[in-house]
Amino acid sequence: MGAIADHLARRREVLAVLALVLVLPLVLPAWFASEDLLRLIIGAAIIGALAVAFDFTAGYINIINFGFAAFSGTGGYTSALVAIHLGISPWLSLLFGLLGAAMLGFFTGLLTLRFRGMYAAVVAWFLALALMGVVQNLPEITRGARGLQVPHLLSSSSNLPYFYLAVALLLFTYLALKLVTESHAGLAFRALGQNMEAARASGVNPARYRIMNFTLSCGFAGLIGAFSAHYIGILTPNIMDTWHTVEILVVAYLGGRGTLWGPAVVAFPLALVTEFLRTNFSEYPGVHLVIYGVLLIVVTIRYPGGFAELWRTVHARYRRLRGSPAGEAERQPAT
Amino acid sequence: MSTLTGRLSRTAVSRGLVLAATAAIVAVATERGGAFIVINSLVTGAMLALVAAGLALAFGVMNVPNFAQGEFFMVGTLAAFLSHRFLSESLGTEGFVGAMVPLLTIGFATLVGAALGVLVDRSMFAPLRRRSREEWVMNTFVITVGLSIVLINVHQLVWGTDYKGIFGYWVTQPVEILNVPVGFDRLMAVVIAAVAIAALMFLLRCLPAGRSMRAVAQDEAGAMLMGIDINRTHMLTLAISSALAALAGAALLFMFPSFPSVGVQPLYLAWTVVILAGLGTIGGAIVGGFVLAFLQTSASYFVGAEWQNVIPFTLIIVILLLRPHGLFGREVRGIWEQ
Repeated sequence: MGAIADHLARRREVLAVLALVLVLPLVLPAWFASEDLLRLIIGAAIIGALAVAFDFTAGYINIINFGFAAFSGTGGYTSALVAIHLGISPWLSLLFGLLGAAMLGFFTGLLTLRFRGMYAAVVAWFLALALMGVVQNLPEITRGARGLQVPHLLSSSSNLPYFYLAVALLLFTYLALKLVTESHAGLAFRALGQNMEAARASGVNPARYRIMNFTLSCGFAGLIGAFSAHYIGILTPNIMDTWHTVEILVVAYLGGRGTLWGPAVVAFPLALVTEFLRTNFSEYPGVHLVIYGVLLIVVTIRYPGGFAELWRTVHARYRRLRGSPAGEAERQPAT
Repeated sequence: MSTLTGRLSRTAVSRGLVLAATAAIVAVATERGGAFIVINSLVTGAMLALVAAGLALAFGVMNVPNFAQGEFFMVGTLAAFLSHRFLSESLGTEGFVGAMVPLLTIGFATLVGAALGVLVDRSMFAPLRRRSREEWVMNTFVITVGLSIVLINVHQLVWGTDYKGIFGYWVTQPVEILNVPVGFDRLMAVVIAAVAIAALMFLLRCLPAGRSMRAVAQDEAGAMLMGIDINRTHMLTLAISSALAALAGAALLFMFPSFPSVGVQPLYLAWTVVILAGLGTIGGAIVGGFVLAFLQTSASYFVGAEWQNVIPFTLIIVILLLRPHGLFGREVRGIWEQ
């Protein structure tokens, strides 16, 4: 416990977010009375949390889990079916969602052990496509495309409690995964992502760490997927579609790979911009997607550090302007 | 030496097994379901072989795992639809000129695909090549994901989501093959695919440009030292790769009306083929295209259309577990570390 408390004390940004979340509804009660805005922020927090879990694999061991949405959807379906058939509280079934997706992640890790980079990504993708097909084709269990009614997490119809829960989930995902990446395992992940042969030569066991990484990442994806299912109240096989993985990938890459906090932060402005474009340019459907596609391409070619790198640069420049020598020293080389 | 022969014979055995299994499936399918399964599989197989060969080419030479290959297919269908409407209005559908309209249409769509390939390489891959070759495979994959989003949504913005299709290029009586009436369009699609595959093989085997592509595929640094223009070779490779996909889309416009996400299905299938055959082997991709088409058509006929995607994907995962580098691939280890 001491380690966790220590960890928390060093994370000023987490405290800042917590303060912001607690204070904002008090300062701007009008905003938080708007259910639409709350729904938007909850959606952004869910996407952000998923992007953090995605980044845990893509940004560290350098394998794009291209079946990510299907793993998260599996968590949702597991939790929903357990809650319906065992009649237990959705709060407990969330755990089943986490376990189900983590097990799937474990097997994916095991299955892709023999493959490198791109092969592993594609195998995960095919697994996801097969999973989605199975969910679609078993309507007697999943009700297929007609949608599965999922019991809500809370009996209240207000979005405000869900808002707190979603932000808590985002923070929990971030903190837990950050803790792992700052440990010995995080070093091993980075080593494996950069050069597998060299990492092996230094005594890092690729099998163990890859399976560990996939299990954790997918477990969190399952938990978030389950939360999202119990929040929305309906599940369709569509949530496992490749396009949802792409959505998460865009957020993770624009936020900055291998930082965890970049994707979490960027999810919010992106959600707001999306909503703005959707409502004000409704005669141009999909224009926000064109913009994100172009942004994704430009960021990958010109600025691979994404938002996190931009923030670091601006921050360092600000420090230097104020005449503090620490700014230059804190600047880390782009990875 | 013994390991070499060992590996060779293992490859030969697994190839033989796959071909034998396919032959068995074809025989059973023809017996039970009639020859039309074979004909249908040949048409979709020809299309798949083209798209997958383009994918394998881009991966083999440039190390680009192209997620936008399906969108090149979509561009082919769109270019064919628009130019077919324009050409048949301006040239008419009668006589010799009218009979040339479909070929002109398909040729034009192929050129559009090639131009798009050049544009993508100049504007995206060339700057990335200059900036950094680190994590090239993953970065180019993400770029093509972005490209795919852009192309799909630009299509939706400009031309809308409705189906833009034609009834057929050639308005003639069906031809009777093995007691099955086969539409002339289907027949021509197979012929066009065969010609394109032959041309691709000729290019790769005999022409200087093809030789430099193979050289770059084997060893880029070595090829550069031999005076091969790397940038030109990459550009040409992507142009041919996307032209093949666009050609497939144009030739099959009568089966796949153009709409924004028409490329998604061909993309999934082409990736399956390429993984099945082993990344970067073009011959394998062509054979694999036909094998997968047979599998899929038989699965949808015997098990049910809704399972036609699940069965191939599951099978692929099983095959990959037994042979991680695909059925036709050799060890491709070093490629990832570029």
